[in-house]
Amino acid sequence: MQNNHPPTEQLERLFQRQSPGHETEAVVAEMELEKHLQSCPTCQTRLEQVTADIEWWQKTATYLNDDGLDGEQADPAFFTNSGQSSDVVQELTDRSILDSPVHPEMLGRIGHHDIEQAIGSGGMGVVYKGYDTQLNRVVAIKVLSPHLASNGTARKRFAREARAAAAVVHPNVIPIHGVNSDGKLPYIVMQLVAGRSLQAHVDQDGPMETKEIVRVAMQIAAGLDAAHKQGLVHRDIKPANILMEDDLSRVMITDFGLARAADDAAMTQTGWLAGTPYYMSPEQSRGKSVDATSDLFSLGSVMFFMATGRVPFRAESPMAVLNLICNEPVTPVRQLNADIPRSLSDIIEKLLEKRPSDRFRSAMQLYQVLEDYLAYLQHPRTARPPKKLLTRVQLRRRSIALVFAAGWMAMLTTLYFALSHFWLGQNDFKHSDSVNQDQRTDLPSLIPADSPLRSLMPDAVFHEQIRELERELSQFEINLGKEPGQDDAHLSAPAGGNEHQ
Amino acid sequence: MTLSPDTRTSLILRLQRSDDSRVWSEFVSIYQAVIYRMARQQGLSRDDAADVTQDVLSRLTKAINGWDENPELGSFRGWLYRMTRNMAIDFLRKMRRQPLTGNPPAFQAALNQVAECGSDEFDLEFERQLFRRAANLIEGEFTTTTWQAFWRTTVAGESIAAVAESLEISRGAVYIARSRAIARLKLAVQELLHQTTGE
Repeated sequence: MQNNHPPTEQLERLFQRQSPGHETEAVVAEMELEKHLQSCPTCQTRLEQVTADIEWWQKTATYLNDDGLDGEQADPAFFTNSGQSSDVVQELTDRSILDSPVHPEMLGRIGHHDIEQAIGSGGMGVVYKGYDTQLNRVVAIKVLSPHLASNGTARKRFAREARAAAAVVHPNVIPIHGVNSDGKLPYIVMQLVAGRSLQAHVDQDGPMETKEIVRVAMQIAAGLDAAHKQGLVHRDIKPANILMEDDLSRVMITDFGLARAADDAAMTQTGWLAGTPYYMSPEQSRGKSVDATSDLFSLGSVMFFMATGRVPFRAESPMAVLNLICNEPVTPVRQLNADIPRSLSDIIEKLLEKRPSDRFRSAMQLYQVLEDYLAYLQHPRTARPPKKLLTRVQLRRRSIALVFAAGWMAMLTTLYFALSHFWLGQNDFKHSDSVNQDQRTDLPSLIPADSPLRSLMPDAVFHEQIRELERELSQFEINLGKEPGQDDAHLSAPAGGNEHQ
Repeated sequence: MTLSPDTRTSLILRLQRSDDSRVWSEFVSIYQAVIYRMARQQGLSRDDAADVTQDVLSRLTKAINGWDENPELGSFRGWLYRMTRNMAIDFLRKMRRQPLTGNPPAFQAALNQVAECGSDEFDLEFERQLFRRAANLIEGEFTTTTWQAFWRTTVAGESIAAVAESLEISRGAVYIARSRAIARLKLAVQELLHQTTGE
């Protein structure tokens, strides 16, 4: 058998499967063939020939070899470098969106705008670079997708939200020049920003440095604050919606409020999850009503992305991502990027708290914290270091410790006064008249210098401890925020008791 | 569930309702590379080549408007293939006649000599992209050892004996491995060819 050449069918069976499988017979047969091929040049050639013509082998060798240009194609960022979309699928829709162009080099026309090219797609439609022929300026035009425009609610909401967004005038929010909802497809005319999105920035240049992260996050917080004050929630804060001017000096939020119009359309469809909800807040992903703090959660995810180059909650499917967002704690940023300081890591963690009330109270509060932090980063010698931020779990631990400490202090104070009273009582009160009012309020000074109580509780230490506790208590109350009253009750009792003594 | 649909995803889903649109993303990734590489081989810079690619593809999408279900025109994908091919060749020929800045005259003369060969170049690049795309698609179906045995002996040109020794398998196993990979590659290339051109 070994010396006889195997029949052609047997050779063919070899490459018709990717492995011999699990059947003993097939495995044994393949082992025998393998042994035969090892030492039979005739069958080596025969196998090559029955597998494919010589031409196939040659083409495979030539075509699969890198000729120096392959690296360029392999770079996924390459075609987006110029800010142009590489997706012809998207451009296919141009035909259904645009009127035919006046100039042959233009893509088409919308209203009095000549459309030059598609520059991307957002949550709801295609964005084009265009030229306003009346005002002679270059603009970005966002057109509602045809499939959304056919939905009456989405259409109305698109226009309404766009008008609300147009009312937000802030350096960190993309200015909206106009809204048109009369035509075939509603569209928004916006300022064209020369630069790339935060998504592209991090994709291409990698995670950012602490100072840069804080600077960018501050600007986003400022923009959000302006919108929130007008009652407008963004609902779709993500790196692709943050545009950065070429010199990185200014950051602008785009697509304000537009996510909601898309929701209307999504709900009327069959309920499939489109896109990936990486930056969604837990309350948003549960379908609950959202407020400004939802944007803060998303901003936390964006900061996480800036610091690590990845999203905080990653999983195979959109549903799995939502599950992580709602139920799993986030991996601390510092574990993924050791260069990120504790303070920044804590800020991000606080933003990513599952309960809205555990996050910062407002975009303005976050802005102030970041502002102080940036001052410290820029002038570490003169500026104050940031206060330690406490997460919910840390707060709980701290509150228990504080209750104990306060209780202990109350006891000690009682003991102190009891003892001092006892000690004074032992003395002749002949000196008491000469004690003036000021001294009287400063109880420790009543204790003679040679009193054993002096050594027991030096007044400087005592006062320092009282002050320390008061500071901690007030800080704790600030941190506690809207935490319901039970803990407060524990705290106020001993604190109040002190005052009355 | 309140969600903002990703336009790209929804567009693709929408397009998927028609049979022909299923080839779009394959089509784009292959042709983009073909046009880009042709342009690069003409001595265009990366940026210029990217511009040319974008230009051809956007002209192409405009032309798609002109397609309607006419039996004489054949299948949509076949028509698409011919359109792209004509446009790419046409574009590059024009480009050679009106060279971009930076090409020394001697180089330009050499280019002009091959000016009429655009169609061969397109076919070559197209086939090349089919092979590369197919190889990408099927690589995951094989174990690392099998794929390495194929790649190193067939593409990288190492000897059977050396590869067998380094992968710690018999020479017979190397022969079988690369035969399997080539056979699968052939199938995948034919499938892609059908998907993109309708042939």
